[in-house]
Amino acid sequence: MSVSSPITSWFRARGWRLLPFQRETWEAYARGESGLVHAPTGLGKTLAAWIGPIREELQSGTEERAMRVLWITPMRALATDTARSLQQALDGVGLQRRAECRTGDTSSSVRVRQKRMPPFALVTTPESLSLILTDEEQLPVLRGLRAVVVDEWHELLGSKRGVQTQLCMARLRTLAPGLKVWGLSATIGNLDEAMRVLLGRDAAQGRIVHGRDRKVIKVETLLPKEMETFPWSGHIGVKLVQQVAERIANARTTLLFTNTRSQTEIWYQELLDACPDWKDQLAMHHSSIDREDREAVEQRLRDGTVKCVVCTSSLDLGVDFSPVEQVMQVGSPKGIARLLQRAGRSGHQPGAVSRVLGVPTNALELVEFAAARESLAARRIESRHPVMAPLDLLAQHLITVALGGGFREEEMLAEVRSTHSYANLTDDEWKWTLRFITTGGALHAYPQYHKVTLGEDGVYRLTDERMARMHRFSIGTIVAGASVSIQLRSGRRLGSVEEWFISHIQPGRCFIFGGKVWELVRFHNLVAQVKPPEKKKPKGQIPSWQGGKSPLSSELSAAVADKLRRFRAGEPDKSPEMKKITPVLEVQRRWSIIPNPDEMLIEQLQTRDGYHVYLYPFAGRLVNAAIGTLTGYRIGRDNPLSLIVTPNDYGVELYGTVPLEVSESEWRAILSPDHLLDDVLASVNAAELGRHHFREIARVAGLILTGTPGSPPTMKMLQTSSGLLYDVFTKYDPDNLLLSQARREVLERQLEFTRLRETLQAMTRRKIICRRCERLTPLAFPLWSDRISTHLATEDASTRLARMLEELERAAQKDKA
Amino acid sequence: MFLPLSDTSLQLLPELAAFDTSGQTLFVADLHLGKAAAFRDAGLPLPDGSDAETLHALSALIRDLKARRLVILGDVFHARISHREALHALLRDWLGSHRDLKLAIVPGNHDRKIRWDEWFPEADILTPGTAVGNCLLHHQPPETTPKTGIALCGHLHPGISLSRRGVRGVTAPCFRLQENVLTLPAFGSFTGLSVLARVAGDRFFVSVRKQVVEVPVPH
Repeated sequence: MSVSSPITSWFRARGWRLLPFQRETWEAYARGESGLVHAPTGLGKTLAAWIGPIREELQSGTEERAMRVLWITPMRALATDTARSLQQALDGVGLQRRAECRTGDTSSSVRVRQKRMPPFALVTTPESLSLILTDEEQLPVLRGLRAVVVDEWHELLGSKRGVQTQLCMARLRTLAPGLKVWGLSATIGNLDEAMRVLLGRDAAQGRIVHGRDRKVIKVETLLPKEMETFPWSGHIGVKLVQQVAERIANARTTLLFTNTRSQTEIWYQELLDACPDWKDQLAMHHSSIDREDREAVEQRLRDGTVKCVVCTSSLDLGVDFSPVEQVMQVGSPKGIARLLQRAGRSGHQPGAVSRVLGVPTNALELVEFAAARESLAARRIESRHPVMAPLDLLAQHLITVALGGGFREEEMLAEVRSTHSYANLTDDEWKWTLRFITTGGALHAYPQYHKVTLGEDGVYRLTDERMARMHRFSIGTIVAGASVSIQLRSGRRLGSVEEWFISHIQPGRCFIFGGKVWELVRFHNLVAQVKPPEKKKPKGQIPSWQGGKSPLSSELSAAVADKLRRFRAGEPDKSPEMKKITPVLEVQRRWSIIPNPDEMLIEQLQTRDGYHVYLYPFAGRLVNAAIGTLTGYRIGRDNPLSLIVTPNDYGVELYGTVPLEVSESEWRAILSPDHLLDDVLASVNAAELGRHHFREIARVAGLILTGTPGSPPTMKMLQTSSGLLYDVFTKYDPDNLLLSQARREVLERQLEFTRLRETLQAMTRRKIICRRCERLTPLAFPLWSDRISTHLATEDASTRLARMLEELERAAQKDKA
Repeated sequence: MFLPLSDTSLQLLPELAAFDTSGQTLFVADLHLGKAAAFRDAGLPLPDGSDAETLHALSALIRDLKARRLVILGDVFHARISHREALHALLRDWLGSHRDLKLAIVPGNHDRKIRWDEWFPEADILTPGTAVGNCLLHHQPPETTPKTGIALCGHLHPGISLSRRGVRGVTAPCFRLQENVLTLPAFGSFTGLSVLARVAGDRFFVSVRKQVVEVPVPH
């Protein structure tokens, strides 16, 4: 084929070989198909999807300059690099077309130019695409599109941003019938579903193209030198800091991943204490640190001028940091996909080996790393499931379309239902959402409320300039926490912490942030002004942020349980981790049993401080927590008692001051999946959880205005907290569907309700084994020692307030004495 | 509880108001009436009901305490709103059922464009710093602490956040006493909280289980 010759000669010139999956993708594209390309990072996915549109343009032979391709990327930091590599390919084949990016960082002058002279390909984010859709003048440009490529679709798939992408795709398919849509995805457990979600109504004709996954991933574990001194619990997990420092010293550049922002701050301090002369070569990166500072760290990583960056998931994705030689994971890997992602930050070059070194913080994490290695080798990766029918986002999108040319009800409903997420949207939900953006959502209309209005021509539009501006400003689903900004006197922003943390620090006292000690000067209006401390050797508290503790994934939990089963059966296992942990597991075997996956072990025990019951569902901390509270609720229903529930990823402790006498058949009833939803809602404080979660929904649905810089004072009068809005709706409009959405999302995200139900259903087939133990077993010990610091509060806010006051009172009394 | 200062008969009420027993005077701050309507004006669909609840709560207090006088320490209204009929009717009814009540208002920053004769034709509109008994009335906390008596103010919507290690914290409205300046919590049912920094010497009082108690400060 003649048009292929510039491409093949370009490939030849670069010394590249055409891979079969790339050819398969181009050919499918040429036939007008849509689909999903699956290959690990760095193996030519981009070219696989890009050459199709290039060949199409070469073939068309026209001189007409129009925008033909939209390239969606999940991170704006990636957009520039992506646009550059797309441009290289265009230049390489001698096609005089431009690939440019358009994100939140793009200046308005560039945006104006892009509008006047659209590039051949535009690299953008889901948020920026929505923003483009609000502009009626850009619709003709979008009508000329031939293809959309959604890069790193696996990253978007499971979030509301994925739903936003689906809605945008539906819009584009309406504007440009015949549009080809291609997703690019790394390995996940449900590639078929990932493709169906992306293609919506066209899914039946979609095609999945698999690249060969030859990437070698090596998982090693830093083994504690002496097992005796190695803590069973996770708290003193910095013991390995010396060994970690040695490894860092021996590598050029290291990424040290932790699981929480507080852990990042803690490990940074520990490393600095261990090696004070690394002061200038050690950096930190987490999502609460100000963006500019984070970007500076990223630049140093690219330049290779930093020895080690202690970081969280904020560096999971993003630019290719080629100098990274070594990746370490402190604490549980939590999931197989996550470990794979992090390992992939090293050895980014094609053909190179990706390595990750696990740093366990308790004994059982040794098993996790060994199990993760096996799962990775077999590519047993977690699935990511789409969010279904969120009405907050639907409201936002309808306003977007109302702004960008307007919509007719019947057509829009059909378009929305053509997506995977809203395929089963009910008529009631649709009507409600439409009312929400037109007359106010409640049963009766409010006279002064005008947002979207229905014109005489049957088209819904938004014409109010001020509301349009507010909407454009608040598009998107990424919600920053309710946070306090940390600033120097000069106004320079360092980052953010949560309000409750800073309100406990008195002006003049110090705290640690971003690896440095700061003295609080004052805290007012959500701004904490700080300065470097005057004292010589200042000490400070380390902030903690709520949320961010993800549970062990089902896949990894199952892999761990299976490892334990094989250990119990005496199957030989040569992995160094299992060898190391053998003495601990032998103790577990002697004092209790090592539970098999088809068994449910319940240990009971009395200590000086009270009575303990340990359940081991192995279902991740959220589900274990829910099982714990559910158990407490179901036991307490007949005979009320006060229990403290402490979960971790393996099990849950119930602690009380009176003995819990429960027979095996009673346990069956307690762990039954019947009436699950009602009992869960009754057992946890669902209302308060919902209130907490409402922030995101209120923001997405446009109920919270994010103040624009320099916004007029009237804007300030419209600012309120989502918790307050939740209360207002609960009191005065309890049937508001956004409230039920909040409850639903809370059930899934904070209690993993689906997994809970599956766990309890499987439980009916598990054998219940009750053991009375003399001592805390290795499985029980971490739970026992965690209780003091992490127990779940299920009481309501006022009870908690009363209890805290009592405690403060006691503390104050002690002080006096 | 009574305010722990000498020569005052000021009581802090769990309903987030203060009451002077000697003059049968009820003090409240920050009602923010019409807030939901102001939000709707701007395209945020919030339901009604908070104004009625605020006024209802106020009536209940006046009735239970047999208050003869009511002082509102500013921010009676949230903002000027476009459709005022509903709120007008609500307030007319409310005033009608409290004909014997003497009403005084210290205007707040949110009340700037309010025409008081339109809404409260009988009320005394006070300038900041006006004394009633030994209480000096303000909306915003005064810049200097008064030499005698106590200053009462609102404006801040004071809240306090309490937490224990490992347990999600609780944020609650509070009274704050700074020397002899008492800041009242917001009374309106649709108002927010602003969590205050805890400066040494400040005392905080919260409402818990229908009682006002002081928040103990560990030294």
